[in-house]
Amino acid sequence: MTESPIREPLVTGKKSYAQVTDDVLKPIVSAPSKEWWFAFLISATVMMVGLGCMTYTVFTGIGTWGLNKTVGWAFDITNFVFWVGIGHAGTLISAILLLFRQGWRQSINRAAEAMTIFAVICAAIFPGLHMGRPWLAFWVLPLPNTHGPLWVNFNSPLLWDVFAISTYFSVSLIFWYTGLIPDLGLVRDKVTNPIQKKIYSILSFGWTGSARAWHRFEITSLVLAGLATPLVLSVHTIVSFDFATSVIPGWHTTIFPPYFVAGAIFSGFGMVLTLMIITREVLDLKNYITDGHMDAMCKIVIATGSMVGLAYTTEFFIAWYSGSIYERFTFINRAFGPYWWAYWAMFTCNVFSPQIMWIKSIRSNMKLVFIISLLVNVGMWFERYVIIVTSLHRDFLPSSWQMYYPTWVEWGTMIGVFGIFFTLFLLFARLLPVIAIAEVKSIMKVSSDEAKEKNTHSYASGELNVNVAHSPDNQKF
Amino acid sequence: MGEQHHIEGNIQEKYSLDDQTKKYILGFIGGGLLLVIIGIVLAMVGGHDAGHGHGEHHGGLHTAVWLRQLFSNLLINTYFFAGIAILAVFFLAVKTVSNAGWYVVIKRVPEAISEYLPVGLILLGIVLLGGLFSHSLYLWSDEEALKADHHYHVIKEKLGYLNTGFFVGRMLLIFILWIVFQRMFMKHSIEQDNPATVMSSFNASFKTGAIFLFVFAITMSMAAWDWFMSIVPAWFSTMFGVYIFASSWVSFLAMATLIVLYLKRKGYMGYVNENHIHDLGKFVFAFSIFWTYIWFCEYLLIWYANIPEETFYFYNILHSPLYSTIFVGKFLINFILPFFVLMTRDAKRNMKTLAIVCSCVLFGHWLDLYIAVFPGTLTHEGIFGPMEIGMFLMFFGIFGYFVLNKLGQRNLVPEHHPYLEESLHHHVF
Repeated sequence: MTESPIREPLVTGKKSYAQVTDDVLKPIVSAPSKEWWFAFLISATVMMVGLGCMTYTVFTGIGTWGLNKTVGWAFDITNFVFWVGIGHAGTLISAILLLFRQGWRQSINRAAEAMTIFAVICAAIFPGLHMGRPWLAFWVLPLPNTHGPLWVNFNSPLLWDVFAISTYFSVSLIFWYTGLIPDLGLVRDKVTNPIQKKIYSILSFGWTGSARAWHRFEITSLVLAGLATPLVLSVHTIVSFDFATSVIPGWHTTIFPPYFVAGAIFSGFGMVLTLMIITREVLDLKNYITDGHMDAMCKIVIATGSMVGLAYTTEFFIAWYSGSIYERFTFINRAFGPYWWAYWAMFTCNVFSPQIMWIKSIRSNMKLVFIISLLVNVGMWFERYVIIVTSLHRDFLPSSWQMYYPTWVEWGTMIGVFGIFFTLFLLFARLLPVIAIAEVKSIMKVSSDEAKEKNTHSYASGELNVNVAHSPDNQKF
Repeated sequence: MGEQHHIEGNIQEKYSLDDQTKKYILGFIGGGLLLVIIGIVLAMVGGHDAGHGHGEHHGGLHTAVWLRQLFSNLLINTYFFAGIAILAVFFLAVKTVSNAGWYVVIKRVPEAISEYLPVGLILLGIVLLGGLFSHSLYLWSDEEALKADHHYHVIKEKLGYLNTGFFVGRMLLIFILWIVFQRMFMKHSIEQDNPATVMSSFNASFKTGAIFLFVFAITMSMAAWDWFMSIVPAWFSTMFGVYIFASSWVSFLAMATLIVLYLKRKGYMGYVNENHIHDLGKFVFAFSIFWTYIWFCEYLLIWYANIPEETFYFYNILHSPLYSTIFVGKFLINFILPFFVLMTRDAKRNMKTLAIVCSCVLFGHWLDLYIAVFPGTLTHEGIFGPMEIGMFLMFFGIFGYFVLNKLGQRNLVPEHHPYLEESLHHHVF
């Protein structure tokens, strides 16, 4: 590994290995702050509201929702797609960016993967609830049963969703947990309370840190990364199939699979930005999640936001170009019909708002980036709402045209799920290392500010080939 | 891997076109031309278009079959190589914007490929205009044939977009934008050969790259709709722009890899080691899967929904023995072959394996364009004979000559590039 001195350092503050461990483990070994308790209590309260609404739904039935015969699903599926989309950034960062050798992924992958897992849990709640009888949820699996020749419909993309998302969840969880093992070993050695020590010891599977353990760890990680890569594409592709295989104008369009994947990455990075801006500030991790990291993420948001914009425009153009009156009507209705505000909210938040980040000074202003990241989240929620509700509410038969109005139960469930998400994330930030310590240490010899300075020095004195990266003490890496 | 990388080869070398290569190129052009002439004669004397005329119930273009066949071939080949050239600019833009370092030692190859762009676009422009005015490519350009077509009621809805004036205007706009950005990248490249301007130009190139990617996304979609999708004017698919992009992108990657392998075979580029080759192999492998993903999603969604407005496009392909064979064949060449052969690390590092796979994939993506053009222009009279092979060989020769000639004009390695050291020491774990 040789790294050009003009690349920005990925770890700043001239940290030693011990300091890295201390910095990242600080929230785990110290008592939670007042701010943490405050945030936790609010999230937990919101979560309880959501759980209440869900309980009410299950006991009363989904008649408590605002669905009608024309709009057969709305808030539930919107929220489902929204959360599955959020869950994409983690795997993208850990698998795809790994393949593209993006070193900056190393200090954000842990948190992004955790976010992925929580987001998929949040997503799974909605189809579960919409079943009406969630205790029969196992019927979605192709199990031999006592109903005679009754099987799940293998032709249905909804069933493919079951396979894709459960695989995605399992692989993401195992991948995330495997990555945690060496760091859990570190936590175990760091905590002093014997009960805590015991718990972290069990969680770390008795990690020894021997060469053999590292060897196995690395092979497992590599295999899991390979498995995770196609999953990034497959999950949202199949979610898009839920709509695109139909014959509904506004749903049936061939660009849906890559457009949904781009949108998912876009929304995932929106959420990663939101969480990371707070995390690095509150946990004092700016030397690891540097401004350079934020800048790179902003650029990904611009790129994916533009891809989404291209897809919106393509859809709109082709709807006209198709010459089909149904296609044309659907899109005119989207932009200028009764849900015009949702369409333009989507367009403004997703396409226009990231574009101002082309300006460097805006990318480095964390307050503005935070606002844009929130706008991206809002915009991507509206995108799903627009696709789902506006395509359904005025269908082929004008006599059955209807508006959709969510009820308080639906609002409560939606907001409550945000509570679940943030509660889980806050617990994660307290109990587990939010940065992959071992991985960050592995790049410090090449990419830290200290290494850069040495490197620049040798660069300047003409010793081009004998920089730190080639010194014998770096053999392990 | 702690030991020193020994860098082989001479980073100040210059390539020159040798006689053997020249002979090959002349052979391609000459042999290709001969085959094209044979093809034209066969098409003219063959009673193929005897029964074809105004009363044909299939609809479609009325122009003589041989002329349509000739223009179809010209369109495929002029675009195929111009597409490779514009995707070379895309490659340079992506590498610049993403701050990549590994590719610096092979940077001259995409640069040389991109230098074909102005030539390629002029040829493409002539073919598009010729096809337009001789009514041999686009049904919508021929009022009489269009009115007789059974899709007329749909197509007439889109004549606000599909008309000669607007089409030519868009074409010129796309050409100008592409050439301007190609020149800008070359300007950056020349500035980066000068130690005094290298850093300022390097920093400025980020902006050029980012703006180009933005412009490219729009122009590439438009190019795909205009030049290929409108060949079957009744049909539409939102994925089509992405599909043509994916096809040209893999063609470019395969072509660039082949040129690097050719240079190594000729004894140049000693400093390009198996790690660089491995990365090129990974690109071909990964984007072959990407192409398949795009192709499969488009096909699956249209097949699944089974709406007549869309399905007829694939129905016509699959119900022709020739087209369906090529349709399935290109799937085997473009997906099954690279997927299974390039799966292992060793295969991607083996130059012979990689050269064979890249040659096949290059041809496979040429077949993409065949399927995008022939079923629309020649409908049930499709043919695959000497003209098709000859035209490809001829343009391959022309393209090869231009690119290798450009390659010889500058040093093979950008000596002052800030990431050169990284690239020379590139190592894949």
